[in-house]
Amino acid sequence: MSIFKIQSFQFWVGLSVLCLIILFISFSSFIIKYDPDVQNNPAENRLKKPSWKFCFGTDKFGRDVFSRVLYGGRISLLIAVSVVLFSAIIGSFYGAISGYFGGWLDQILMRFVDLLLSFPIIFLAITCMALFGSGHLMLIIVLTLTSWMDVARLVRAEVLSLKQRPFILKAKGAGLKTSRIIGRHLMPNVFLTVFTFSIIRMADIILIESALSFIGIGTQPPTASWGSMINDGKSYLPFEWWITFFPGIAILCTTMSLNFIGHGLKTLRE
Amino acid sequence: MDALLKIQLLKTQFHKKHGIVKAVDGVDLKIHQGETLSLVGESGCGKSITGLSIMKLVPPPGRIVAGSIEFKKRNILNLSEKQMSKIRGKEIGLILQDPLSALNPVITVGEQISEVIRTHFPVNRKEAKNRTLDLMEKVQLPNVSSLYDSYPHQLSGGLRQRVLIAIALSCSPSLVIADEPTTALDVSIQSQILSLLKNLKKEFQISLLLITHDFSVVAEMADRVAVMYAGKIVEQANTFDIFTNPIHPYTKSLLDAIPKLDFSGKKKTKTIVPLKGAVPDMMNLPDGCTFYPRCSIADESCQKSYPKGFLSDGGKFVSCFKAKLA
Amino acid sequence: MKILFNRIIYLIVLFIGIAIINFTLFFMSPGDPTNQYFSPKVKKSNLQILKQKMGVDLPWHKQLKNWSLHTLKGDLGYSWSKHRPVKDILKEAIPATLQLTIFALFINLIIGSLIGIFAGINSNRLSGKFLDILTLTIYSTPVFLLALFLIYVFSQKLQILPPSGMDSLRFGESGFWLTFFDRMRHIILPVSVLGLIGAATTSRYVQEHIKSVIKQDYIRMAFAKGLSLKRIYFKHAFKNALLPVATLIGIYFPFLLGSALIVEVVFAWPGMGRVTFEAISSKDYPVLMAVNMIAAIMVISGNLISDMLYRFIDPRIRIQ
Repeated sequence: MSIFKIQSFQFWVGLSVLCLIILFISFSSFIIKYDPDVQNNPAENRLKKPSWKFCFGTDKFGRDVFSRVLYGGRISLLIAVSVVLFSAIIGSFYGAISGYFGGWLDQILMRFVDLLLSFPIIFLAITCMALFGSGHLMLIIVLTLTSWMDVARLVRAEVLSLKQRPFILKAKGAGLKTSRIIGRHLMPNVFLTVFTFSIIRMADIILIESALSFIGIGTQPPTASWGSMINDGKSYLPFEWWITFFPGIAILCTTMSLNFIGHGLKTLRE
Repeated sequence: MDALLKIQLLKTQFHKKHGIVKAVDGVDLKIHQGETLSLVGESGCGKSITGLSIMKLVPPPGRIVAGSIEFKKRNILNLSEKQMSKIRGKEIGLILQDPLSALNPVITVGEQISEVIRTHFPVNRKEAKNRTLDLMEKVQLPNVSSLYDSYPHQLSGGLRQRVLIAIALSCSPSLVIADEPTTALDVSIQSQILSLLKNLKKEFQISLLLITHDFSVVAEMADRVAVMYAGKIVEQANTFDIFTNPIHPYTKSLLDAIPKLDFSGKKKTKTIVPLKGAVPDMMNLPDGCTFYPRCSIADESCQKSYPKGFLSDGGKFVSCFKAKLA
Repeated sequence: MKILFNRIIYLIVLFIGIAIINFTLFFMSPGDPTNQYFSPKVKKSNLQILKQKMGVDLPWHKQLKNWSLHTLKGDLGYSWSKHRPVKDILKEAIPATLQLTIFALFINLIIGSLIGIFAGINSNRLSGKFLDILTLTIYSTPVFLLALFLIYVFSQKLQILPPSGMDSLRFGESGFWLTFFDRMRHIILPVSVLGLIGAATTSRYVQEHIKSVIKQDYIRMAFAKGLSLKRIYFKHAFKNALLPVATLIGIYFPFLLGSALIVEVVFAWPGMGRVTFEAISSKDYPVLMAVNMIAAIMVISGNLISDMLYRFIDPRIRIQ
């Protein structure tokens, strides 16, 4: 099974765009000319159109929008990757244990997941951030706590069907330790499912994170984030469009390419 | 007598990314009024696709690429989808193998029968319901009035197949295509369904195209038999002739592969000879005679070209080089 | 019937659970209502008395009891920032939000299902592939970005629709129809945002399920019966593809509330979302608490509705 079998055009477009975005963001320190959070002589450089000097223009404080988009991307991607990673780890183990052992343990574990899933999670998350502060760490914790359950369900279902397959029965018959069966034999087979799900989930997390920053309870100023930049720029529409346009495009490109990749990977599974 | 259905040189192909599957490759068939023709062959030889081609329901990417299908002297390949939908269900009925998947799980049994009647006849719901109840009694369903409002999952396999038969017969069609109608059923139910089909066929005066791989079904039902291999008809004859005097080596080996009981107490005169090999990869068929790799009497000449069919004495159609000599 | 009864009991227990967790979160949060009176001039002992009077120095279970009793009586407390009863604030906000969300849900389900069916049936054709990409694009768009885009096009460039607010005429001043049309003009943009993004999600679900449904034998049978295309797709295929949509509705309620929050902020729509937003920025705990309870009720009713729909559509479950 190699990814080169994927014949969807969107998948390859998505993958290349995402690689480009990641490349730009990871080497942002070498690319940018201005400090993203520092005001560059606001009196002179305020609200400048995109030009050779500021290729995405400047905002109301004279800050370079290009640098801020790149730095904002760092935060957004970092948060999304951490949330997805932690959810995948927690969810995989939870789901694998539940599915592998079955019986009353499975019942209890899954009822608990049902319970959490029928919670008005987003509102609780917002409440938590409002009550206990809204740093990046808090954001990661809250979003992880609200998104591992889907992975757990997915992995459990997969493990339930894998459990009946000959190679697992053989491993059991050979007297392997349970931890080894789960770690070495089950997990690798669940990996693609979890990975595909995580890619799509990452797009959702970026959407939620940017929405929270947009209404002002995610990333706090002056740190740049795509959501808060759009919030800053919205009062300058329709004339100073570049302040909203570029971070908006950045979000859209990232989420779209993630979704396209995710759907390409889905066809691979079928 | 003119044939009710006359298929000539029918070719149905599936154009896939890695090649062309010639599922039906130049098939000639005739079905006369009131006749039962059985289409026999291993699974994957194209017999189901032949059936679906007659209804113009070949699933994509499949396409009928050549030939003609004359039904009541009209070439249905020239008909539009709209004209075709007036033939489907009304003139030609279809019975599928697995009655559970062929019935819609979220629609009541009665509705699934009566919707056919309402589609093809200008009747109101009440009249359609009455006809449906009649029909359900004819296919020997019990408690028809309560069954009318049940859902497919509440019925047993045999009853579901009866519902499918009722659907196929709902508009008294002249032709019914039955694709492995008993394969998914228990053995005890199979004979019930077959005898029901036989009786209804007489009562409704329909012709039957019976697609099967089971020679016991053929023996029970068919007037004539067409044996299909890798998209082509290799032998066609009366049922009696096929069983007593098969000519094509494929037919012979199919018949040899049937286990037979010998109650005479004497030594068995015939043993089971399993057919070696499997149906070839339809995407790259061997050159020459397609059966050649599995044939016991083939020689080099068989690799060169596909044998043209010929009519042997007694009106049998056979396409084999060796059989001609024999 | 018994299953439904059990289900309702489960949902009630769930609701109580949410309520307790909700309360506990606020109980654990730093600060209490007396903070707002804190200044160098106020004596510490006076604050202590105030705390006693408000009951915020009591242990967790006693406070929980007090809070539950008050909530059950319909007393949701007093807003710290607006100095009005929370109940009154919600009374104004809830209808505004319901107008928005119910309208959006209809648009979402109708447009989403239609596009989903069409894209699913034509998934091998160019039109299907185009819709597939289009819905995935809308699905990937942040709610606020779409909102800003629509404002940019329809309010700022074309200037045909108002960018914010709920009315520009006073109610009762200009007669029913004028007021009504004015409200419609204001509601179009926010409803479009909510409806479009929801429709993209719905259509992706429907599309995926239609794709697998039309490969089923019973669809082949429907064709073999000579039924009209309309009947095949809308009766035989759609009803089966509708099952997952029924589950979706349960998920949509919290999702809609969440996106409504953002849409209301962008369009200055005076609903629950806006109330929540203001409560967050002013740390108005009683309002936040009440909003959370309303959200819980919405989620629970969403669950119940989708459960009942599922039972209604799928006979295999209904009979059991």
